[in-house]
Amino acid sequence: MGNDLVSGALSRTIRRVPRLALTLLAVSFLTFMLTNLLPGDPALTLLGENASDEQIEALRLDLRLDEPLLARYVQWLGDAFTGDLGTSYRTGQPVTEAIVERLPVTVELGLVSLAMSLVVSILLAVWSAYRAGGVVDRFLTTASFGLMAVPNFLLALLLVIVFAVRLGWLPATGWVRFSEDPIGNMKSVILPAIALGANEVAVFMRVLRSDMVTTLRQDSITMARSKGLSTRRILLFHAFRPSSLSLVTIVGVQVGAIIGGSVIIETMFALPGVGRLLVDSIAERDLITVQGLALVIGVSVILVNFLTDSLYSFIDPRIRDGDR
Amino acid sequence: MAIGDVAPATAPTLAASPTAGRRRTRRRWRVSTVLGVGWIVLVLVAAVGADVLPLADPNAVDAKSALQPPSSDHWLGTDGLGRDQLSRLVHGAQVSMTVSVAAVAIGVFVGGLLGLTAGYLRGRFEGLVLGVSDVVLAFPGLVLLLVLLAYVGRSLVAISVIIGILSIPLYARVARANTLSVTEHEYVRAASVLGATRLLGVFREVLPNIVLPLTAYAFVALGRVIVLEGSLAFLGLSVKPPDPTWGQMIADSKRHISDTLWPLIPAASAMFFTVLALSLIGDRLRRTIDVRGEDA
Repeated sequence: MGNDLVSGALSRTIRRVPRLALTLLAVSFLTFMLTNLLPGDPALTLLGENASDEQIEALRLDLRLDEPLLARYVQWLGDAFTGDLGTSYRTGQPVTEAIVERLPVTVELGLVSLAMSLVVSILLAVWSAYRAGGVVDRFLTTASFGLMAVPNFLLALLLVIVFAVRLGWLPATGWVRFSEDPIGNMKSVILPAIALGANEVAVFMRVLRSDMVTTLRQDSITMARSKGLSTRRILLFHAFRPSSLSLVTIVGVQVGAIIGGSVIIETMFALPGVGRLLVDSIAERDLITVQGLALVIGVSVILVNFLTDSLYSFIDPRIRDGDR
Repeated sequence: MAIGDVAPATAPTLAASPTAGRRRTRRRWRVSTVLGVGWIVLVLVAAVGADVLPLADPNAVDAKSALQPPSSDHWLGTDGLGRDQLSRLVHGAQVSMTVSVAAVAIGVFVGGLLGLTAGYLRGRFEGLVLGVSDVVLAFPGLVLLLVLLAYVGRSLVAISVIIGILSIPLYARVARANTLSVTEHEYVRAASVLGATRLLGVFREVLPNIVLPLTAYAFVALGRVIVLEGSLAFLGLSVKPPDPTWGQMIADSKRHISDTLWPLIPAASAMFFTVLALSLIGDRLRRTIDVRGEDA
């Protein structure tokens, strides 16, 4: 019986692979078209008005602008598969290298922020659901509305004002690598991570609280209680796990929001991450880098969502296809 | 079946909690909704009347009176270039409201229509709409917005239209999901059996049922767009300076945070209260339609 359910979940996951492949292909095509739909001569646009004729001619050759669009796409996609996303015309650095260099910063920021917001939101949600309708619950519900109304750039600014400018406890900008100075690294990641994760706390808390309230009303909980199990045990083992399903999905969905938010937060705190690279590349009209970044970000978000969806159907095999 | 599900599901909830606490909670929500609506009306009046109201020129630089706290000359003080904050705030409301209302209108109209048609026709069209949504939603909204603006250039119109287009998939999904839940009801099937043509059926039977969920969603979305425009301004990629936007004012105040917070407070509060009000109204609407409505 249990095996049937697992193999059912597995076959559902496998059945979704062709669609995943199709989506990835479409995302890559969209990204490719971005540069190629530029009005006028792409080579001229990429290099700017001051480029010499030879430079433009070299780039035209490089981009294979004389070949048909589809052939260029296939070539570009093949290169992307082997990790070649082209070379920036502003810095002369390969795009892949530029992204790989900055990826650890963004990943660390994202993970620290996700971990902090999960811990805080789970604690608050469990508390809130346990005393549903009570003072704490009502306060937290109201507070979560307030929290969601604070844009992350504003929160970042407020945190800098309090903890960097007034109290002077933490740096307002800059990044210290973990390998150089672990404590300095923690100090440089904490404010950005809070600013990035605060909205997620509200989102996660509301989802989990609502599911917990439903779970706590079920017979199995009354049963556990009548067996004399401690409240903590009931909340953590009997109620939290069955209630965490929507949370898993929401975390997957919010990964996109976290990546989007890191663009702002990294710029605000001057962190050398992928998001900052995107903003800088856009400001400098370094479109090859923008294109590479868009591809990497789009593909990562799709893969993360695919993984969480699959995880979801493993945790609860009753989920039907396409129920989102 | 589906119709029958609705009534019994609400009955126990109502029977179980007719307590005073619950009633008080309800009244409190109503007050906050009224306050929210009041604030939004105020912002709308400011946005529409920005050019008519007796305000200083929002872009008039006066270096001598820079960074002043509120006074009778400048009710909300001045920014780093001595520009009147009240005037900039009111003119900023114009930008915020224009961008958000235009973007949401595009999204609701096109997305609603696509989702409704997809949910009603099902089959290939539905597959196409969902497929394209997946592709667009694969990108974090801000990333795609930044990338597209890098190509198109940034003007008020470009920003509004691109945000609008990028949000079409979201509304299409909401509309499709609601259409599906309605078309499962038997009265719609009855209507099509009785000879109402398919397209007419869509509009007569389904449209009234998806308008409310879409509206509830649209209110929350208005707030998101305001934040999005603010984010762009913060990155220096929104409407070109010196024209004021709330995000721009917050970004400008960053330079002075070690001296004074007066340049930050008006725009930051305006943005906070507007987003809060919109999400309260949206939530109120959602609660009205959601029969399974959780307790406050």
